[in-house]
Amino acid sequence: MLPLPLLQIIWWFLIGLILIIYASTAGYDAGLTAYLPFLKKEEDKRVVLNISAPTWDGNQTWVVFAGGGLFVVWPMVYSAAFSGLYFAFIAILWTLLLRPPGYDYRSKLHSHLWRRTWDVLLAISGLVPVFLFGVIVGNAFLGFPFTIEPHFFQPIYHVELSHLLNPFGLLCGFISVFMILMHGSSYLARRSENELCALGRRMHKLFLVILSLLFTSAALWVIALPGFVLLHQDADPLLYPLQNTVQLIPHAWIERYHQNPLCYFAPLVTYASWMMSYIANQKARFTLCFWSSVLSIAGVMACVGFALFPFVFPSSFNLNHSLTVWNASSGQYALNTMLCIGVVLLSVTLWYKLWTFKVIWSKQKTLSAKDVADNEHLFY
Amino acid sequence: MLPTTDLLVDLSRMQFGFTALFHFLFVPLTLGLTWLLVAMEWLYLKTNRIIYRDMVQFWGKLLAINFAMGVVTGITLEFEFGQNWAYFSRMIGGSFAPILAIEGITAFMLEATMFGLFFFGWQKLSPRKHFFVTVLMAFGASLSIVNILAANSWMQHPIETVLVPENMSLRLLHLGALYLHALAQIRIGHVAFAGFLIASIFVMGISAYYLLLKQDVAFALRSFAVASGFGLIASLTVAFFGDQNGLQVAQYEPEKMAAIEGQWETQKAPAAWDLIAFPNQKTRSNGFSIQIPYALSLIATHSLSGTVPGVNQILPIYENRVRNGLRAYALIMQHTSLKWTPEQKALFDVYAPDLGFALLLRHYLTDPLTATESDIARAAYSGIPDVFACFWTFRIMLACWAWSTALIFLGIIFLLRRTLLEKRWFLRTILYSIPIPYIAAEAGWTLAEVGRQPWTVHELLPTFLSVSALSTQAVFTSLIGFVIFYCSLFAIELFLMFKYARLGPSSLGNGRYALEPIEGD
Repeated sequence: MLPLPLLQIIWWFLIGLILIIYASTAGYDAGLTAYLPFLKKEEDKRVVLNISAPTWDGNQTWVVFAGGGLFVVWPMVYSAAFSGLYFAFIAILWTLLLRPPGYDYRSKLHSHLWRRTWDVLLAISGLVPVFLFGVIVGNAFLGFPFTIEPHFFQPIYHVELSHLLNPFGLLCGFISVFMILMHGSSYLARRSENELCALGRRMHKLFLVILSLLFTSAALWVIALPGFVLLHQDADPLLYPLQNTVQLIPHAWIERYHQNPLCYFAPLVTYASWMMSYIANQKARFTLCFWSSVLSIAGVMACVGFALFPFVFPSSFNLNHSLTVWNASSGQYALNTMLCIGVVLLSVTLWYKLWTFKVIWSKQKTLSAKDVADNEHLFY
Repeated sequence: MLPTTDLLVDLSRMQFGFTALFHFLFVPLTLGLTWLLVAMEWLYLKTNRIIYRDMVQFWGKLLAINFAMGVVTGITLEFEFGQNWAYFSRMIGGSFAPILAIEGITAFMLEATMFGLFFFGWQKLSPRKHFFVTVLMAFGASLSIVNILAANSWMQHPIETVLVPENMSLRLLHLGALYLHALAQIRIGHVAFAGFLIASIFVMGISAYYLLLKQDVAFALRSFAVASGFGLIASLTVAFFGDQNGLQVAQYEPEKMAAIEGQWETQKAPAAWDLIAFPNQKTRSNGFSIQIPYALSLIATHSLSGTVPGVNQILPIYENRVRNGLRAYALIMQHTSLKWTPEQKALFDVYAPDLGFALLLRHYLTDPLTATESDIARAAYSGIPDVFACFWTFRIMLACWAWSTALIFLGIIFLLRRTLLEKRWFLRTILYSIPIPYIAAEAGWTLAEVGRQPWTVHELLPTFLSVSALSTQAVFTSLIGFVIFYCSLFAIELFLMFKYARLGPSSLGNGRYALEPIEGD
């Protein structure tokens, strides 16, 4: 068995990786469906729907992977976050739930009203979860108002959570939304033709500029915020998870970057891949544009992760009850076993996912309105 | 732990029960229909006759409508463990969650990815490769059952787990054992074949509808034949596993067995089986009952010398366990931040298996250490599940299975005698019997879960302590929301299902079937 701290770090990376994959696959689906209410022609909508249709389900499943991963790797975080942020997660859930019927049912009836309704619902089901995920991540920098009962370790919340929607949280929500809008647009440019492709190119540039401005202002804001610092913990933080000494120290979030300058690669990669994505779009190199967009998503996630480490779910109500990579994880056996299983399964999964993408797109790189018309009864 | 109100616990249970049972309206059809599609596509590969490919595509369309709902309601459950059962999730994260995570990675992922290829791969894949995709899709769906049942069986009988008192979590010792345990394997078989049975009756019923209308007869007869053969195997196998499951329950959850059979007092062997009875939890006796001599011993123990322990014989054991559990409870309450000494740990380990019984007292007392003898008796009695519910869900399940099996036998007989088309009464009966095996499945799950009460993790963690510390208004609001949301989606699903089932294979739009061209589609 690998040593526990190493396992905890590996899993921190893996959860991050899964979230990046989720954001960059289901992310473009969410970005695409946001177009539906704004497109005028039904043929265009069908194209937008069908360039994501063959793989949307597999893409969305990464959220199940992420949720399951959270449950098994950090059960304390999973239970504290999902119960404490009850209505945030209910909202995420109920909007996410509109996606499968949206994709499956929308084109099964010819009624205009029916399709129009699903267009709007699909757009909502893409944007609302993305926005709320952003809000939650943003609030991690401020901490959540919970404590943990010391005998039986039940998480207890002390404030109504409407305060999630504070200015900083909202800013992070919008960053998240513009990130997937940019990503979805790059995908649209890559997989469609003529006017739709041109639309994707225009919007990609616009969203990219807005995103980089929002991200930069949030980054400056984070530097100004007081940050959580873990000064001391028990020799066995898993067995005695509440024996921490945590303090709020001005400008501490950026401290990690100073301590370990390698962290600076994250923002560097982020900005560089945005530039790359923009230039690739300019030169009509759509595949490069899309993959640069993926890289920038990874960069943004890494920026957040590096700043927060080792905190996963900090407590603003009782700083010492903050949940970290060290005190909130499962035991060594569970982490080790799941690592062996997880690495094998993740490799197999990635392999057949890539095969799926290859089957769908290797012969025909783009989809046109004519293709949809030819497959009226098979396509969505 | 916060004192939790009964209302909060009830609302949380209602929400989970509602969403889980709702989920299982869609899962079994996906489970069974995917393998039926495999069978049909295999026939297509072998014979190269286009009608078989049409069968795969048409029944695949109905699968898609059903599948969307299965996905929707499945994601809910993964969220709900953390949302409504925070304490449960935290405590069992290291032991139960690995299986759930494996389910997400393997089953859900494989099924969802192959599902896309199944529909969009017809022109992009060779027939052989497409068949392979269909197999993978079915395999993914079945893997899901394997994992979920392994996890649920662990909740019914938590093996290979130790309670760590320092941080009150359950530590897993051996993951593989959770899959390999007989209880898990038997229940996997039971649920999987129940799904195959449901799908068979579904396909037979809808095919019967086309036969009644004399529309697309060749297509319907072939579908009917494939499904009835499949259904025959399924109905016999599901019964075999169900019977084996009974033996396991008698061994690991004797109180559930007592409740299922309405046994308040232990009968002398050979014991009589109550076919009908009206158990009363308050008076601890059965109202009116009809008994079959010898049958209980035969059913529950497969012998004439065995018997089923009654509730009144289980209670003294439980009272003792409450008393033992209190010793472990006292040790935990001594420690807030102090470290445990090895002696205390050793003492704790002796009484740890009974800690859960002491926790049952939390329902009545804020401090269980002050418990009197009458409190202990009350807590022990709360360890017995609702006898009426267990008794009747079991019998409903059994009756619905018998009905479905009889229909399948008749169907095969009529099919072999080539008189199926003339037996209109039979065709009509099987069409309207589509919901029957569903009722059996829902009753079966209700039995499994109600019968495990008052525990979420058997004899370790009581249900009323497992809930999240939420306000009752919050759970009430979400429960109402779920009911409205699910029912509207269900209405839409049923509308589409009926529409496409009525259209029949003509909905493929390939010009080979009745009712074409279709208006409004």
